[in-house]
Amino acid sequence: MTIAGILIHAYPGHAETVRAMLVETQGVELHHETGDGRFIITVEDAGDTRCDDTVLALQRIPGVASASLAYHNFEPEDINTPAGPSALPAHLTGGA
Amino acid sequence: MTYSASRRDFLKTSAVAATASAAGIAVPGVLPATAQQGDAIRWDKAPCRFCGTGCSVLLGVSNGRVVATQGDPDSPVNRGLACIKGYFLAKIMYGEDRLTKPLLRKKNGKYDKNGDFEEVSWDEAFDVMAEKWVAARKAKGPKGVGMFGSGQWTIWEGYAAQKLLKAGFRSNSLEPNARHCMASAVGAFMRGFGIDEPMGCYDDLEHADVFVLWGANMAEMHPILWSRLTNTRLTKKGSEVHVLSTFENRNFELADNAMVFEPQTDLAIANYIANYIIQNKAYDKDFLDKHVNFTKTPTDIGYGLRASDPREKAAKNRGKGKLSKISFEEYAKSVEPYTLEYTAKLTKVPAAQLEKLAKVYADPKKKVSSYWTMGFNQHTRGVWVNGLVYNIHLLMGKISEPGNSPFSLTGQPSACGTAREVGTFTHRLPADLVVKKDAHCKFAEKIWKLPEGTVPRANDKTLGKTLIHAVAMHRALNDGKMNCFWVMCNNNMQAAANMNDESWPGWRNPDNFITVSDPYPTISAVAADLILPTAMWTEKEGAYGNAERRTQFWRQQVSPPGESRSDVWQIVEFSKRIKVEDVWPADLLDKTPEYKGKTLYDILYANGQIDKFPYEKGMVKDDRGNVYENQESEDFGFYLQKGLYEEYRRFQYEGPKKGHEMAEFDVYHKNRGLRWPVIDGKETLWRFREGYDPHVAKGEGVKFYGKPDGRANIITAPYEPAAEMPDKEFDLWLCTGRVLEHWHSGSMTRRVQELHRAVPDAVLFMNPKDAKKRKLRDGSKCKVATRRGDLVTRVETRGRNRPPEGLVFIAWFDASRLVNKLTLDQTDPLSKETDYKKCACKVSKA
Repeated sequence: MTIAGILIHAYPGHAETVRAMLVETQGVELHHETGDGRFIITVEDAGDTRCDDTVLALQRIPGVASASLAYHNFEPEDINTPAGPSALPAHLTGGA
Repeated sequence: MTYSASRRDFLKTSAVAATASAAGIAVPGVLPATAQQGDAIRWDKAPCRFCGTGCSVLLGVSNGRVVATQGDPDSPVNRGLACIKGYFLAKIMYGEDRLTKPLLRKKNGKYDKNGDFEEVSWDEAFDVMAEKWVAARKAKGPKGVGMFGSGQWTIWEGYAAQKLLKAGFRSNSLEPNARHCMASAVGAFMRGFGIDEPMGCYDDLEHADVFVLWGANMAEMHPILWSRLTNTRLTKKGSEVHVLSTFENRNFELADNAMVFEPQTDLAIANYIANYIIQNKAYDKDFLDKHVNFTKTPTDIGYGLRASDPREKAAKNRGKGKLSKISFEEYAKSVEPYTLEYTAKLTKVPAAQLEKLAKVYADPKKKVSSYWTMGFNQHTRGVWVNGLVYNIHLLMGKISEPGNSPFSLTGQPSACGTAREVGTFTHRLPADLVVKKDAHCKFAEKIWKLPEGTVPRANDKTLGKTLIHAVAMHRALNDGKMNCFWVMCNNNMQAAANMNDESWPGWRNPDNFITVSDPYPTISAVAADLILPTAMWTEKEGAYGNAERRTQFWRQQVSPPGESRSDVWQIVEFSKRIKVEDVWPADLLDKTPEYKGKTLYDILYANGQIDKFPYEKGMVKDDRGNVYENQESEDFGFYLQKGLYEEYRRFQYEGPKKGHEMAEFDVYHKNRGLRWPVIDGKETLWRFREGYDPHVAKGEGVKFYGKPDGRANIITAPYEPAAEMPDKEFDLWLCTGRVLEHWHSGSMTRRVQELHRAVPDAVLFMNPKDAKKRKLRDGSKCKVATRRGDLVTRVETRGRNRPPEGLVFIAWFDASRLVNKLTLDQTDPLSKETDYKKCACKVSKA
């Protein structure tokens, strides 16, 4: 299972075409648009198209100034699921 | 809902929350990432393994394996984001062909240069290697052995290597691959300011009004810095981006003033701008009077080729760089020939565009930041051209303050932190000290508890001339003058220029024994005689220093596969095999009889300083109580990394050169790095200026304290032509470099299937008109040939790089198309850095 959170930044005047491309791309879900050309999307495997290949293709969409990763999970399906204080990301507890 | 469906929803929510947080916005209905609960993953920070930007990532580990990554939201560098290579970062550790055991070429059970690789134990590997090294050191002197390290080494790996070579083997034959990438930048810093590394920092990406990119494809090579620059350009009124390159690249999409210039003529452009500033009396006279000396450098200095080359014989001042003082008037006269008309003609850049560029530098109200990378550094006049941009900033006083920043970007994660700061170059010692100065060597010997005279001087009374730079090392192997060579953390067979004439015959010379330490069977590894499997990145505890002087640490997150061990372990363990009597002369040992009968390990590492920090399993913990392994410390029985770092730090506090101070070891495990100098726990953002830099006293304003008189040097240097220009037969410029998807030689990124699939081969970027002239079309198979070799690839006329007529570009990551069979081993005679950007080639149908 692979899931990625990506921030897309479009050049001025290109937001419309970039949005159209994102919506059309298999495995991409558009969650939020900032109004200044930035898009918050998640990407997943979809059919034969792998999440990671989709992510690579994003930065080649015409009008995209940058496609930056914020989150990427590629854990195996059988991951254990215990929870505990140490499971929180480091920055969430204010420490290193 | 099935488990996996709920898990998917959870991860998706985490992904949206992390992305929204990085974008600085709240998404309705999504809790902030801080509220996510119930994860099985342990998270911890580490700087990225790739470029010199120094992004921090959070690594999620489960069952001993990295299963997730996030851009680190607490990192001031990347603020929660990572680039495409960063996205695939963790996968570099899990390539299918990881090396897990030492491999030695053998025949009939014994080492044989012409044998096949067989698995051997670490003991056998090091015993054979030690025998070869001792024999070579005895027979050929200090240049008989050599080590080629890396700007990807951790700080302590570089420091341990520094001691092994310069103190242990008493050899200055230590170089990093940073010689190929940053040496020109270092040369210019030392000549101009007397202290290495940029005065500004990444905060300038928000403070500047104008950005000028001189030979740096930031959009592809430093994407996170590029995204910060893009944000400023798109949100700050009146901001501008000027781009200079020898071909159109992705930077051009954002450029307000995009200029394609003829290779090598950047020297003329910089001089034209200086001339414009002077002619228009725009310079800051007060700043110049108080803070600047004017100097000139010898001209016609050759191209760093072998002495027998006709171009070297013709050079009047081969390799010379001694500065002499001149007046402001003499300086003004030296740039006078660079008129707009002359410069436009020489560079092929339209005059209006050159003038537009000059005007922003000359406008006292505009804050200008200049960025450059390999376009300037890999240049036979690299030190000169770095300096020419400092000249412009100094003329205007636009330096060492927010937004006004000449900034040399870095290609490797610790080219600054390790190669430059620890000084793993033939001529350097830690903290900007150099082996040509007797006092500096004596200081190192004092810190290292060694008898006076241990560290070879550049021109040593008994050892002779001891310096040997990277390109000269391959020539020395070829000539049989160096017989043992240890390559760590880089792929120099693929990376070094002129593989056919120098690198390959040097490595395969029957007299030579080549060791390569690497996680993967690279071109270099398979060309070696002994391969040592290396623990990489977060399989060890580490520290890197990025381009803005930020030092960052990480803990060991996962175990290395099989028997692979980190470079620092290999260096220290190898030292146990070397008896001091075998590498030191008797008179030196007589000065310290207590060292008789010892090994280099006893003298260099178990010296009462490095081994003074105790280690117990389970003691490396974060503040949440998670426990981390530390393989090396467990093996050696003391906290090796801490001991090496704390001894290294004494060079910063007790040495003759101030300004490099770093904080204590434990501090860096708790923060996202600090920019040195760190004084009383406080980092420094802009050096040399009162109020920002604690080394500049109240009332001093600006002080370039790296120089004894506190003044920076403006150094005049002219345009001089390249070593090998296109001619009738070889009629095109050949420029090499990188692409977004692959980092350096591709030894890591090509093992990530997705990156490999996205860009599997190095293609030849070519102007459609040049293609048509040769009856080639997009996708045609073509042969690229130079005087040194040829390769076959495919033509690309519509891709992301659009060369002008007369120039072709090819990336060097592709092990199946070895670009450095084509390139010329020309170097900047001052920095000894190779120019990979300019030689002459011809292209035909294949």
